[in-house]
Formats: sequence, structure tokens, C-alpha cells
Amino acid sequence: MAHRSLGSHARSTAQLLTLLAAGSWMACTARDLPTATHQSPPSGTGGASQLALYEDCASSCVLIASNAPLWSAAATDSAAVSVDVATARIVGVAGDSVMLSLDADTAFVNALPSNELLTVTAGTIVTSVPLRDLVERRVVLRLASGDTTTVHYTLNRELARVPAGAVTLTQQTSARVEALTAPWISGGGASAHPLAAENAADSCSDAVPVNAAGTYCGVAVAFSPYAPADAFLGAGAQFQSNAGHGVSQPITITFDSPVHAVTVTAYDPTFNGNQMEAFDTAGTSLGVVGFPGNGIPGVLTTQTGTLTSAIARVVLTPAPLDYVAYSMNVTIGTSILSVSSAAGPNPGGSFTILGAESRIALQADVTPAALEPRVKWLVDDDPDDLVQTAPPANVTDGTPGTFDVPSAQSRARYTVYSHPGNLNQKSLSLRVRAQVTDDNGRTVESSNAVVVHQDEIDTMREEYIELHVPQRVPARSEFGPPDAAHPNAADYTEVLFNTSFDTKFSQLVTAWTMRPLLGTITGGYRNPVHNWRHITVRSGSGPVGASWHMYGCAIDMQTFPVLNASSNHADTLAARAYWDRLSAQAITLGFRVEPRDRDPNMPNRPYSGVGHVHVEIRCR
Amino acid sequence: MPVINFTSPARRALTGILSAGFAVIACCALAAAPASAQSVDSLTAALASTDVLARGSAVEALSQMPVTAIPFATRDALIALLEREATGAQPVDSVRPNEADEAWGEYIIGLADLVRTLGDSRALRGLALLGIQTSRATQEFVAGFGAQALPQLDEAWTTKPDARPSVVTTWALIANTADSTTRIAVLHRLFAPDDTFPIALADAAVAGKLVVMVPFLDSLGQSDTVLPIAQGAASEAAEKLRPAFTALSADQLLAQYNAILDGICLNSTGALNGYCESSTNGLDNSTKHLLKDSGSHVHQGAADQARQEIQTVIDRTLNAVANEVLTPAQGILLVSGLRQVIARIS
Repeated sequence: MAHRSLGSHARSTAQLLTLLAAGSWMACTARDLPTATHQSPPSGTGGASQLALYEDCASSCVLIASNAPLWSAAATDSAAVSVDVATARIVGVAGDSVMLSLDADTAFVNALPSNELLTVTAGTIVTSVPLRDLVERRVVLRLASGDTTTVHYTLNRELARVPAGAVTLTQQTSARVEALTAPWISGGGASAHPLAAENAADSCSDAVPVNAAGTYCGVAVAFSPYAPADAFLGAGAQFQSNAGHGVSQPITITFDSPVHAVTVTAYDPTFNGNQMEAFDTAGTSLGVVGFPGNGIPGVLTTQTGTLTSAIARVVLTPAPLDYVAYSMNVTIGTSILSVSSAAGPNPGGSFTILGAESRIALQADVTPAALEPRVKWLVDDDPDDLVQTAPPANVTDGTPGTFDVPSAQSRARYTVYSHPGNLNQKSLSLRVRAQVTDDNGRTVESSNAVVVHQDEIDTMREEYIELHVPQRVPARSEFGPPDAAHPNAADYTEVLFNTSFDTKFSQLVTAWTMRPLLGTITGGYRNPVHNWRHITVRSGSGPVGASWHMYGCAIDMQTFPVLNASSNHADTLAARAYWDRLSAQAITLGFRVEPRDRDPNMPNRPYSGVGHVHVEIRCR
Repeated sequence: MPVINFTSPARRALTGILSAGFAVIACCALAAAPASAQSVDSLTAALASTDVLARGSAVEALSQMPVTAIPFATRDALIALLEREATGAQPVDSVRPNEADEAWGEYIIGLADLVRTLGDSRALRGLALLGIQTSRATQEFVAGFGAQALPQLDEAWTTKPDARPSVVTTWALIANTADSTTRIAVLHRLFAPDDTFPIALADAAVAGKLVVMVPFLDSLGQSDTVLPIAQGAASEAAEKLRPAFTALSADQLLAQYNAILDGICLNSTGALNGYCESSTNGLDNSTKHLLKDSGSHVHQGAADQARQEIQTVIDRTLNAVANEVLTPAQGILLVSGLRQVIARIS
């Protein structure tokens, strides 16, 4: 647009600064994008995607929390364009009502002219109400059906003077608010909360409108110089270099962390020479895109250009003597927050509750890196397994972060599920998510969920810890797959080996010439829960015994003939002889053996003492 | 016979891989960390629990302590507990175990081992009644008390039939190290007529290095009156002892058979006393005397006289077996052995 005097507004610099004062930490996704506090997005040019979107605020939703929108309503040069106030999507039944109430002091209300109207549009129903009348709560809409209804609120531009003072416009409804866009609410209104819905998922990977200073998806953006656009608003113009409609100056827009792409639309470039140039963090030019203009003063044209790279700065340079306004969209990045690692210290990220083995290291990928200290970790029970894993009470936030898996875990899982069970029923498992919060503790980004869980070996070792097996907790290296000499009758695919025992037992196998001894093994390794079940399952809090079967240091061998209900005295004598000899052989080699004395708890158990020979060593 | 290699290259390789792969966690793999740390007082109190699992866990936890760190009160409790378990005085558990429950037996192993390490003579009864069934170490510990252990072993022999094989072995261990008087007392028990445990005797012969039992074991190995498994045990024991037996001279052998005869004849009465002690024709020609004389004569080089005296003992022994004054086992022990002596007299 060629320079022409359109007259300046009554807006002072101080007033503008007031309007520009947004929260120091703004939103990063479309659900809570910062909004230009000076100017409503023009209707029909951006739609809901350009508006801040808040979740269901129940029966009471704040639409305006300051007099900022009234400044736009006072922009008489764009009188034909109404000021977008809010859009609500509500679901109710026929008869549900929507009410508005204005909360402001009397002087403020009295300063509002009666022709400053708030218009309520719901489909074909359009209702306009003097804004000042809303000081008494008014029903502005009554639903005729139970369908989802989109309600759009706008202000006309009949305001000659912006009253000073606080003002709040609140929507109340008996219907359910499914979604609400309230672009004039920055940093959260009294009843506005972030919405985890539709537009939230990939907002930061999409282009987001950046038309004023603020922080967008974690990237702080600064404009110099800057003024809100005061022309071509209906076409979508958002900012310009200077107030009024004088000759435009170059605008430098700086990103504190490089962004992927910048798209700028120039409104009414007339002369050749309008351009955007992008620079990286080192100040190296990344490219230039021009807005050549139409060469015809007074005829509006819009031209759009995009530059893509790791852009740290762009400079919008107008053609000499030209007046140009702009709007801008920025693609911040593909993802700003993800959990890249949540792992214990053991192989595969496994862990136990034992000492340093309980320490889980957390790592998140955050863009920009300056947000790393703002990462807050959420750790809870993995909902996809059958174990109730107690989450940590304390987590060291930031990335990297850490937490210790609590040592107090319920042993109930060892008795709840049928023996032998599976890992899904026994492994400790925690779900880890990350969030980035703003200065107010408000969540502005949530990550994917990562599960940190025990592998099979640590699940086995966990039994030793939680069941307080008195010997020790075996090292991971002591476990391995079963083989002929280590048959697996326990609950897992791995068994525990002990070289000392194996060496001694190989001597017994060699010495025993009666029959191949390996084929007679009836009991070898038992994990603690298996051993627990092998003996009596008592109360869940009792000890589980100290069997060396739990360390691969004990073996049971069948005696022969195998005794049963039809065995006669000769069979019993033969079995006893077998027992005597095998036992003597084992003792000679240094094994310890179970006594033949009958268990006093089971004095009448058949074949007690001679049904099998239990040999063991006290291994370390 | 299949060759079983428990330390196969494959397993060693696996261990190596695991070790290398897990090196990163070497700092936190608590390979020998006790699963729980309880106070000695609480462990001592747990020894009185009616729950065998509680007692067993306490015993294992105490076993991990240096013996010198175990307080006297705890030692007393352990010794008393073993004796209660050995004599059936320990109250039974309030919860009936599963049929497959081995907790009590395994707990006894640990308890006996721990009590043994205390080195306390007050533990002798419990160890003799129960502990010797569980390990050679305990058998050797009891045997170390020599004659002092015999009353406790006699009690075990009398009250615990299942313990008799272990008692036999322990006797043999005493015989190997005790003074001559105690040795005779032990041999008396070993070859007592009221029971025989061929497998236990074979094991005892090896454990006590009773090499003079080789001819007896050879006979046992060929006897169809015992189970094949006992034959095998006897033959194996004989083979183990044969080198030492072969190396003995005739007078060395005679000295040992004299001790065996003294043992068989110890405190003899009735017909056995007649076999052992009676002389005829006013001569000092009792069986014991003849066998001792034969030793002297071998030593003096009077071979023929020695052979004649030994043969007389053999004949009398055969006669005593025929008249059921001696058991067949006693008869075989003496006759087969003495025939070997005759063959060695040059």
C-alpha cells in the first residue's frame, strides 16, 4: 500500500504496551497457543485453528478477562470487521440455555455505549445484545435440539473510547461445553483449562500463527519494531512495523531457538523490493523470498513466501516508501517433547528394587533445549500389565531425570496368580511420561509414554529380594538357559547355575554306576516362589525358607524302585538300599544330604526319606 | 557311560558373554548381598518359632555370620534347638506342609552344619542323633570326640533305626583314629550281631580305612544273600581298599584281626564267651590267646606254628557260626581274613 495518511488512533504507546503484556510463558500447542492480546483474529480468515482452544470448562467459561478486545472494538477504521470474542462447541438437549454475564464496575459499564453489541451466532440464529446489558446475566441462546451447536461470539466496532478497568465476560450453560476457543484469554482464564483434544496432537509440528512477541511451542519470538496491524484486518493482516499507516520499516523477528520454516504473507505490497530474508544462528543468510507487489497503489494484493531451514532470525524489509502489513506462520519443529529413554541400570534397562539397581534414568528430547529444566516426569503403574507396581514418591525432574523404584512392593502378585504365572503377572513395570510446564505449573506439552520394566532375570531376582530369601540375591550372570544337567521345573525359562555344585555333582554322576544319574533328577533349580509353592503356601508375609534349590546348589534324585501304593516290603528295602548307597556316595564326595528322619510335621507321609535323595552344598 | 561336562566350553563361553555384557552393571550387581539383614536378637527369637520356615531362615541368616560373632545365648539356643529336633521335642508346625515339602529336611541340614561349626561338646547329642545323617563333616566332628561320643551314638542306634547307617560310618571314623581301647569298643559295635547294613559297612570300611575288611567285602560282593546294590557297594569299597590291604604284612594283618576279635569278644557272655575265652586241657589256648600267639610266632619266624594256630581259630570260628554263636558276617569277616593271613605267612 502506498503511503497515505489514514489518521492515527487514539491509542497511546502506554496503552499498547498494556495490551501487549502477555504471560511470560505461553502455550506451545494449538490448545493453548498465545494469542495476540491487542487484536482479535478476523473471522473467516483463520477459524478455530488459529484460536486458543480450551477444554470443557464445565458450566462456567470465561470469554474475556480484560478490556483488551475492546481496543479492537474501538478500531473504527475496520468497522466492517467484527471482533472475534470466542467460539464454543456445546452439546446439550433441547431447552438447554446459554447465558452471558459481564462483570465490571459501574463506571466501566456506564462507559459502554448501547450500540456496542455482542452478537451470538449459532447456525442460522443470530442474536445481538448490548454489551452493557450483560451486566445482568442474560440468556442469549436456548437450544432447540440436542445436536452439537457451535456458538460464535463477536463484538462490533462501535466503541469510541475504551473504558479503563477490569472486566470479565463469562458464559454459563446447562449444556456441556465440548470445546471452547477464547483468544483473548492468555495464560488461562478463571475457568479455562488446557484441552487435550483434537488439535493438540501435532500442533507444534504444524505451522502455528506467530503474530506477536511471545513463546510458541517453547520458542521465544521477538519482534523489532512491532505494531499491530491497523489495516487490511479483514484480509488477515496481523502486524506492521509502526503504528499508523506511514512508511514501513524493516522488522527483525528473532527466534531464541531455530525454527524449521517461516511463512509470511505481505498485505498490499505495492512496490518492488519487499522481501523476507532468513538467517541462521551464525547470522548467515539462508535465503530471500520477495513480495514484488502489484505496482498499483490503492489496490490490495497479498503475497506469501516461505523459507525453510534452521531459521534463527528473519528480516522483513519493505520496499522504499511502501506501507506493508504482515501475518506470519512458523513451523517450530516436528516434536518438542518425547521420552527418549527410561531405563534401569541393568542390561536392557531392567532393574530391581535393590539399592543402586533401583535407580531409573530418564531422558527426554526437548526442543528447544532451554526447556530441559522444565521437564516434569510423571511415573505411574503400567496400566497394561497385571502387576500393581508402586510408583516413586519423588522424581528428579528435568532431563536427565531419575527416580528410585520404591522398595515397598506388594508381594500379593506372587499369590494372586496361578503358579507358575507369567512375566505379565510378576515383573515390576512403570509407565513414564514427561511434561513441560509453564511458570504457573500449567502443562503445555505432554510426551509419549515409555514403559520401564524388569526383564525375566530381574523378575526372578526380585523374588529373592521381596521374599527375603536369607542367603543372598544372585547376580544376573548366574542365570542361564536350562540343559540336560539343569532341567527346569521352575517358573521361568532361565535357571540358576553354580559352578561349584556342578563340578561336585559331575563327580557324583561319574561315581554312580547304577544307572545314568541325570535321568533320575526330580528336582533342581527352583525360583523362590516355586520353592514357596513347593512347600506350604502360608500367609503372604512369612519366610520362604532357605533352600539351596534356589541357588542351583541342590538336586533331588529319584530312588529305585519307585515306591507306590502297590510296593511291597522288598521294594521298600530295595529303595532304602538305593538311598543308603547314593546318600553315602554323596556324603563321601562332600555333599550334604537330607536326613532320613521323618519330618515331624508329616510322620505318616508315605516313603518319607527314601523316595528321593536330596543332595546340596552350601554355595556362595 | 555318558560323559557329562558341567563346565563345557559352551557354558564357559556363555558365562563369558554374560560377564562381558553385564560388565556395565558390575557396580550394582550385588552378587553376595544378603537379602535381609536382621538383628541377632530377632534371629535368636526366630529359633523358637513354631514355623519351620522361620527357624530355617534364621538358621541360614546366622550361618552367614562369623561363628565368633554368634552370642552365647544364640549358641545355646541353637544347640538346644537341634537337640529338640533330634529327640522329637520340638513342637510341630501349626500349618501342615505340602506333600512335597522339603523345608524341614533342608533346615535340619543347615541347623546341624551351623551347630557343628560352634565346636561345642554340648551339641554332641543332637549331632549324633540327627546331624551325622547329613554330612561327612558332622560325622567326623562327632567321631573326633572318640569314646565320649559312644553313648550318644548308642542312643542313636537304639532310638533311630534310620540313622544306623550314619552311626556305622561314624563308628568307623572313630575306629580309624581312636586309642586301642576305644577302637575295640567301636569294633564291637560295628560287628555286633543284632543288625547288619552291608552298604553302610562298605561305606564305613572306606571312611574308616578298615582295610582288613577287604576279604569280607569281597565275599559280600559275591554273596547272593544281599541285594545287588549292596554287592556293588561292597565290591567298590573292596577295590578302593585293596591296595592298602595288599601292602600289609602278615603280622600287621594279624594285629588288626586280633583287634576285630577283641571287639567281637568284648564283654562276651555265654557261648560267645566260650568261643572267645575258653581254654581246654588246662592250657591257655583260648581263641583270643591263639590268635595273639600266632602274631608273635609270625614275628619270630615260626611260620608253621603260626599257621596252625590261625587255622585253629578258623575252625573254631566256623564251628561258632554253625552253632549260631557268631553271625555269618562275623564268621566271614574272620575266616576270609585269616585265610589271607595264612597265605601271606612266608
